[in-house]
Amino acid sequence: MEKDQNSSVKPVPVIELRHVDKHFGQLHVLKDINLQVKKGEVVVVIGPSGSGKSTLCRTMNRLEPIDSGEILIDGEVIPEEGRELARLRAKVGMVFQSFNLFAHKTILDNVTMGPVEVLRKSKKEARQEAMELLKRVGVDSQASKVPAQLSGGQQQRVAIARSLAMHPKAILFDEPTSALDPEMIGEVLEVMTRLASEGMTMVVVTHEMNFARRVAHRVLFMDGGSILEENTPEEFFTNPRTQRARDFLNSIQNH
Amino acid sequence: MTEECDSETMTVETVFPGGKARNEGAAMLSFSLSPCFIENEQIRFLSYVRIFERGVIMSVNELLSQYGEQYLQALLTTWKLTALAFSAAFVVGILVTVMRVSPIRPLRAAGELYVQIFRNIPGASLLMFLVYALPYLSIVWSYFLCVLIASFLIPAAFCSEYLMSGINTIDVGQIEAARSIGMTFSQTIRKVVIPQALRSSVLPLTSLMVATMLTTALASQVPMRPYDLTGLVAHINTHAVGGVTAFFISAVLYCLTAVVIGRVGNWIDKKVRILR
Amino acid sequence: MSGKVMTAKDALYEPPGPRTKKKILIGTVLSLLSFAFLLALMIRRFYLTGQLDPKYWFFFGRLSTWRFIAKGLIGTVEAAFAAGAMAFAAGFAMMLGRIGKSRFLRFAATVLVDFTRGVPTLLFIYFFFLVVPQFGWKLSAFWKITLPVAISASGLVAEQLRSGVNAVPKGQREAALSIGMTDRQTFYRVIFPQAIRYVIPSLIAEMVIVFKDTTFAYVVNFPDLMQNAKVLISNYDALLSIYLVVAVIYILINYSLNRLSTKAEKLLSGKQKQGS
Repeated sequence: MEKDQNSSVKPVPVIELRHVDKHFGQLHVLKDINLQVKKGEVVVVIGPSGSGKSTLCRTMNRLEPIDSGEILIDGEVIPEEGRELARLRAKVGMVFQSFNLFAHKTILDNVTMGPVEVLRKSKKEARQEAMELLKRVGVDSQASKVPAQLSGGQQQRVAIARSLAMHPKAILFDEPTSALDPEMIGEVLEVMTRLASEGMTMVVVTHEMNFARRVAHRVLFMDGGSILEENTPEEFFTNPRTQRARDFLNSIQNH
Repeated sequence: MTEECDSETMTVETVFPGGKARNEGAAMLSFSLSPCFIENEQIRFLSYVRIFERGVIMSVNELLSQYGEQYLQALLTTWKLTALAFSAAFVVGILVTVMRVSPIRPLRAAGELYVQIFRNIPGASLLMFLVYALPYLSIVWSYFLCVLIASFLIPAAFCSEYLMSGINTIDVGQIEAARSIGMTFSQTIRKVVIPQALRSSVLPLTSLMVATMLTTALASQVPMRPYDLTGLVAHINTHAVGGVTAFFISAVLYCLTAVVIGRVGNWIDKKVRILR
Repeated sequence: MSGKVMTAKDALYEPPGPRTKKKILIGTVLSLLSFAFLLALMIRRFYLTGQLDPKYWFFFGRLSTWRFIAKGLIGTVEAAFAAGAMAFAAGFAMMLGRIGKSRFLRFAATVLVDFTRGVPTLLFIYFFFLVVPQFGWKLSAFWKITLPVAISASGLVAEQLRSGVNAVPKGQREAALSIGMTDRQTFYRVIFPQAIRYVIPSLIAEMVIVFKDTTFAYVVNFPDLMQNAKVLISNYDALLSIYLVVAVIYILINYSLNRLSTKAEKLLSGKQKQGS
């Protein structure tokens, strides 16, 4: 892209992708992706299914390996393996489509797991902080239950609290509302909106166009493994530059 | 040939011949396994029938007053074998499972081979091999040890199968979630994979413990003292007319043990079961 | 959107980086070396104890040996199939009792199922070998091995059939009743034919247990594979080699039965998907 800047002048981006390529067998799922996410920025990635947007999100935490290129967190290149990889992952939170709470742990223990195991905090301190976080996302009354006893919306809010407990530099959201019943989408988006307004750096893969319009600082439109368009939300939704983006927006409006 | 056979060395508890010969070296083995054994069996068997026909069937009281202490010992022997064999099976089962999921191919293959061999070999075949064939390689273990080894090698294979399916019930997403909060490989295994695999294996492991107990009845196939619950029934019925009573006492003791194991297993399962 | 369906077993490890790849390579080499070392040790043991001597192995080149083994195998297969058929009949009856309306029958069937599952096959064998003749009931060796093995397996069969019946969706029964079928017709025409398809794989796997249990045929002198092996042992004065070969034969039979069971499972679940 035309965004090659001298990094010594500008502040270091929280997440940076340089010439990232990835294949699934024959399928070229990410084609020469270059991207910078600045501190406090909310980037929303949209695109048809199979466009590679979810894969893009997962590579930023290296849950998916890449074939070539590099990914930097806070200016440090994510290595392929080992403790360094774990350390950098801890700096970036991830919220999954299917919540992925630890089924054998209570809600509270789900949130304290990271701080205790990875950040080596004391149990007491971790618990106190976890309760505050649970209160912030509005599920503190469920702290002693296990995930299966909670609604999807509640589980996803716990998952957000679990990410926040690590004090991440950024949080990646991989279609966080796609597995939710319609009446629960609002409560999760509300928490996310609040996070954005508090200045959290966020990368959000979603189909929620209203959320994108309201909250995003930048919208990326992906198709066929490439970022086809990078725009402000106002521009993108009113006057998309590419034909494919227009087609995509039409198809979801007709829906 | 018949004259050569020392019929006194054979009792019905040592249905498989060679028990005594085993200790006297390999040379004796071939002799005791000669065809005369079969004739001998038949003669012996006929004599049992005669004893049985003469006798009366004992009442529970009568039987217990005569064999009560031996029953207690037999029960304890079965319990001891079961507990030891199950613990060993559990440890070996975990080791084999670790091999089977390891990224090192030869280890994987060895783990798979172990499971295929020991889940398919009949207990009798394995025990006979340990007791009568290994001495030919100058490996002589006590009868108790042979029974114990046979009764844990087989359940260990099944234990590994249960643990594998326990691992496969874990949601892949949870492993990814653990990674995403910066947990290392060993933390993910210790804190997420193993606890969940173990919790969802409680019920299969409970039935495995019962199966292990049933396997320890192999003890009746070697001249092991004290008797286990099955060996004692064979013993009583060859020396006295214990009949149905002797059989039922052992059967009931086995069943009660199985019920207790089942109850405890259910209780543990209720406590640790993972809601999904 | 990774496009791959992964089980937890595959997801335990991340794609290896260069350091991990190196470690795996070292592990592979080391494990291969240690397996080779173990194998060499074993062969050395065989050599030192003289077990590699051709006199222990040459007869496996003779057709007559294999014919004799095959004869024993036929005995094993006959006993196993007879026992399997009886176990199925008894298990079916017990299952009917367990799902039936009569309280007494339900209780009786439950007790029977638990009893047969909680008592070792060997104890049942001793019952038919030692206890039954006391009542003057003379059974042939064939029945003395097949009856106890069948009884021992029947409880498990009953439970498997019952789980199959329970797996048939409730709507099937309601639909059958709604078109005017009687309870009896509903069960035999609609429920059971579907249930049996669910449990065919586990019934095949159950045959493995039956095959293993028939190994105890030597206790009652029934000429099965194990018993014929003993005759070979005495003929050729070779114990280790024959037990080894026999064990391998049993393992291969049961392995193929298990494979068959897995295949049936895949086939049937595939069919059900097409049907729905």
